[in-house]
Amino acid sequence: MMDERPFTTHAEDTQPRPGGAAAVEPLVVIEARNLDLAFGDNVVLRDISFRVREGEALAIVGPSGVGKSTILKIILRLLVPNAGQILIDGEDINQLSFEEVLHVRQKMGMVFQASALFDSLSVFENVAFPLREHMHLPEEEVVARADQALKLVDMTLEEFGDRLPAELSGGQRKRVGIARGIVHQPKILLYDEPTTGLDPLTGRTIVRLIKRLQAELEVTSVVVSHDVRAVLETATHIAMLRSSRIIFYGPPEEFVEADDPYIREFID
Amino acid sequence: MAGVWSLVEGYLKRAVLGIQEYSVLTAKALRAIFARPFYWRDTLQQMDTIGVGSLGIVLLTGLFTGMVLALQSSIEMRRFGATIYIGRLVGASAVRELGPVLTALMVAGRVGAGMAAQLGSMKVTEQIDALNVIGTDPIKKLVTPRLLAALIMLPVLTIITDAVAIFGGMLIAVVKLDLTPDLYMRSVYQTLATSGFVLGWLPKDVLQGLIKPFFFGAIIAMTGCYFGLQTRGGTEGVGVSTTRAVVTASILILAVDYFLTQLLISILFE
Repeated sequence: MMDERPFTTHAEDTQPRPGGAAAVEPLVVIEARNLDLAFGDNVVLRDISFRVREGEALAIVGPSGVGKSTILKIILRLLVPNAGQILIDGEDINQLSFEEVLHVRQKMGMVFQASALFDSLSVFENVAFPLREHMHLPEEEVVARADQALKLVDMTLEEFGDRLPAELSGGQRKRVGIARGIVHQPKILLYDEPTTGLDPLTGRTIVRLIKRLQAELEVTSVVVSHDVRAVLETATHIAMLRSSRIIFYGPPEEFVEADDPYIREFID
Repeated sequence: MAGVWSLVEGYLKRAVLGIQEYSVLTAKALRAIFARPFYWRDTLQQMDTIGVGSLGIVLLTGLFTGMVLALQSSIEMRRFGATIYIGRLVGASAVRELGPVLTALMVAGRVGAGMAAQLGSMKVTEQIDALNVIGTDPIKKLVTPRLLAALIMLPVLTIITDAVAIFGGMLIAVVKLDLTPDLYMRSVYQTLATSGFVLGWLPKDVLQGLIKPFFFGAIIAMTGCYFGLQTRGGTEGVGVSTTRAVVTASILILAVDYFLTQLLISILFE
């Protein structure tokens, strides 16, 4: 069920526990505190709270239209909640200026449901985009990093670099989207329905890819999905949304054993 | 009655909100011209799209406008034996009004629609969100280069339209009215010279015709970008945004032209 522990600050997080010699919990990277969001009379989110620690992967699950992707938009401050706070590395991003938010967003990578590749740019230009925008690296370095990011998603610059997004399959577009999301080595990776719209085999490949990236890059992830199988394989924690609220928060092992009939029906 | 009033109230609120958002977007895009990072490559690309890309329609518009002006006015002029003044009429009409306005309307149809469609497609396919997520300001990256390019290229296109319109008028004057090119061009110069000069060399009529395109360029770019960024609801929404961008820009150009002309007359000629 919902994590009932009181919220802690970074300083408290890193304090050794009494009696525990080296029990240091990882820092909280993303923290949502009592988020409320409504569009007119339509309540989308109510009293949403969660914490994601360094290296963890939180999966937000629930049926379509329940507000899962909205949470990602709030984390990125593409939407501002009516009430509550969202803290990234302890900073309330809703209190920052637009320029400061742009800076905070550079810590994040996002994989969009429909990939959101820039359709006028080639695969290479898409992957290199975050590097060229913010890192001002020499061109050889840009090429090397783009190549490295594409290799992590089992693609190569030689074969795909010059292609336009319109010339790729759905799975390939998703992989390029992931490569663009990780190329600047972000601390946080956000996935919006990473397996939706893909055939089962390609979906499985993407899930394996996400697991591999988590292991290799040690990023903190938030995955929004209604694909239970994908979520159980990738998440360290699961938050289930229903009627604008979180009705479950805990590790996947507890999620599969939950007695709640709604969760059982969702899993089955 | 109450239902009608609430409809009107809702419409007015949306209109005021729209004007506010349009103004804020324009202010941000203008401010971004002077703030880093500068997207020179995007600006040059847009200058090519707006300027070189519109050259064909602008040349045709100018040529036929000048020809039809000469043709229509020749009927009356012949009656009074005043065909030697054809150049005056074509020159004044093209430089003061028709050159700037027709160029702006043609570019609004071609480029404004393109901007709305491109940004609208980017909006509905989450590419604008992707820019935001990467930490890039979409206004700086997408709107400012278009605004800057339109501010630079509209006056250039207007000068070309003016010149081609005067040339078109000359074709009719020479072929149909048996005037010599020299006589026609002298007549054009006389009308521009009689308006007086600024700085001793720039005819006031020409200055008036060159100030207007800056405003029209801003209207075209900002209206196209505004409606593009406001797009909702998939490909159908892109179509709606494109239509709205062209209609709004065209009306704004005509309305602003009237007020600008009034203002410029009071500044330059009174």
